[in-house]
Amino acid sequence: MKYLVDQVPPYTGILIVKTSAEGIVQGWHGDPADYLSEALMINEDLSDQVAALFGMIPPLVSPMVLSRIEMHNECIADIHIVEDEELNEFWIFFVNQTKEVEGIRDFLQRLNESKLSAAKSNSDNPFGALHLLDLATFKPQSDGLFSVVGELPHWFQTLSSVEGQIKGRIQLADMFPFMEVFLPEATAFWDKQRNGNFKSGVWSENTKSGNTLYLNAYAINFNGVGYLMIRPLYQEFDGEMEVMQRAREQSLAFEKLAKAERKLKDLLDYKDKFVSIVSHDLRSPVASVLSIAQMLNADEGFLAQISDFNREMLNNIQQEMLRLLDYNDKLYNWSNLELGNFTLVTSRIQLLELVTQAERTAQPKLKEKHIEMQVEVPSGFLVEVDTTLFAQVLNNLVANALKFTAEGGKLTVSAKKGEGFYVLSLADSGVGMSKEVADQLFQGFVRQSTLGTKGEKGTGLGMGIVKKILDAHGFDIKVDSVVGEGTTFSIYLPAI
Amino acid sequence: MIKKKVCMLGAFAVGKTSLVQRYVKSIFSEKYQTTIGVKIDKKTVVVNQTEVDLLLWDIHGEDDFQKVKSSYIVGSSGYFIVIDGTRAETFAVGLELLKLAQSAAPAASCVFLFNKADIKSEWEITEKQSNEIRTMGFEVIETSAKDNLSVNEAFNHIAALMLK
Repeated sequence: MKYLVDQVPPYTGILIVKTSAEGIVQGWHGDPADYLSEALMINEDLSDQVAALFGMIPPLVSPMVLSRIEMHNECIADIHIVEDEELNEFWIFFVNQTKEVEGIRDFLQRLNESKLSAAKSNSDNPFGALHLLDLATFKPQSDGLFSVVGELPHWFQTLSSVEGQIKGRIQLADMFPFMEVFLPEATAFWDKQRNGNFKSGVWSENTKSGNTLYLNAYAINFNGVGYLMIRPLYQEFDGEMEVMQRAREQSLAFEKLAKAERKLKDLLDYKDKFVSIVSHDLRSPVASVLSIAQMLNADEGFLAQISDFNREMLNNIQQEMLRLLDYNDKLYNWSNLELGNFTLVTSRIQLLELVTQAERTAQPKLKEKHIEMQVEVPSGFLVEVDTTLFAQVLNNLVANALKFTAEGGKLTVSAKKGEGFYVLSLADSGVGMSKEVADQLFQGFVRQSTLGTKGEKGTGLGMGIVKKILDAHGFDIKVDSVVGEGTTFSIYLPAI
Repeated sequence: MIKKKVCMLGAFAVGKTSLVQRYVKSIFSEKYQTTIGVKIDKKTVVVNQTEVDLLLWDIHGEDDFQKVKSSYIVGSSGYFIVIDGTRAETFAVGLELLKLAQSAAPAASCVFLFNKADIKSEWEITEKQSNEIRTMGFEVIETSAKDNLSVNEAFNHIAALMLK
């Protein structure tokens, strides 16, 4: 201590003051004017001049340092308080720190300013650095303009509607015309003053690089203050867009299919109408020619005058006209069935009666081919059918059986009773058919009709008509066949 | 500068975006790109020596996935109801959107565009339906964004109607 006081030159700028244990000045070394605003006096309480020393002498610990105390004349000093216990003396060292402090003053200034600005922006931007989450945040003002809250995210500057730096308050609707529709809704939401958010629809904006950016806006209510946030939709939206794109493409494809189906149906209807009209109109002339042929064939006198060849030709004309008439009638019936131009008129009738009628109709062919038709249908089997149409079914099935049964063959028509239904079976001993042919039998009309055992030609329509009529009644039909052994058709009818 | 908001309304895939792109940028793409949300384009036109900024609101198509919000139409000075001539179902959707638009913007001018006139042979929309719209008091213009048929005329016409 004696060394410091006696040996350290005063121009070092240190002021050393000796005090009593109560802080009363007993002497000093150095220039008090460097640190104090008034002259120092012996027996003066040092704390009167240096308020920082009030209550500090004697110190609780020795040495004790008071750092960066502002003194007189913008001087900053460290004050060291040292107790010499041996001599019971108290020494106060004032060490100038002004230069050191100046060195860090700028830094401290900027640091404190940033702390202050953060504290200030916290009250306006309670959300923090939302721009890092790609959110552009705005606060609505009373004049309808918006102020920016916090910083704006990078994507904002890439928009072609944004020119230069955004400063001050802005008219959002000028920048985003979409806001015209969202802001009224947002305002209504803010007026509710309840914490929460209200989301806008999606809209798109162009970027300066020519890309498209999809955006969403949110009106936020937070602690009674309204905000508007806008954010771009990136990856999650890409997925949503792809789903929407595919869904709409599929809708379009479905519409095209439905359109094609409508067109096809129109064409089919047109075809059936055309066939119906033509076959109806053809009936008269065909029937006329047939009548003439039949008349000539019955005229013995005329026949006697023509050659055998011409008689044969006349007979052929009659047969062909008969076949043509039959074909035309079937065509007409089929086209009307396709068009749905009929209404079932059902009545109750004995199944045996229907079969007996069909047997009568088939008599000429049965006799011609010497085929035995056996009927094993019990009486008392009552069914409800459209008798005219069902008769056509039986006639077609019987005719079909006779066509494909060789001379001397057999056709058995039988009926059995099941649980609430009857099974009517027509079993022939004919040529049978393969499974492929059987599967296609009721498909409609068959383009290539097979010739019968005696060369009988068919129309290819018979089985299609049978199926249509039975479908209209709601009856099932099955076919079992073995090539070379015969075919059995089974019709399932509800028992009355 | 006068600004007028014009909305494009119609079922999905009728050609709303294509019409706007043809009018604003003179471009057309065969590829169907569905519109999500709203896209707003701007074009400045001169009508009767008056410069008008047309704000064209290209709104997504009306279907089961997205319904057009009436708030989008509010404030419109005019709107187009776009029908796809090749798809009969877009006619009914157009009429539904007409009701929505009349309620949201009762004073706005309306023009019907029967689009895809370049493939008229495939049209399902009939002359009778065109007349039905005309009888209701609306202009019907047959357009093709693909072949640039009557596109400028359509937009110029609605601009003139809005300035009346």
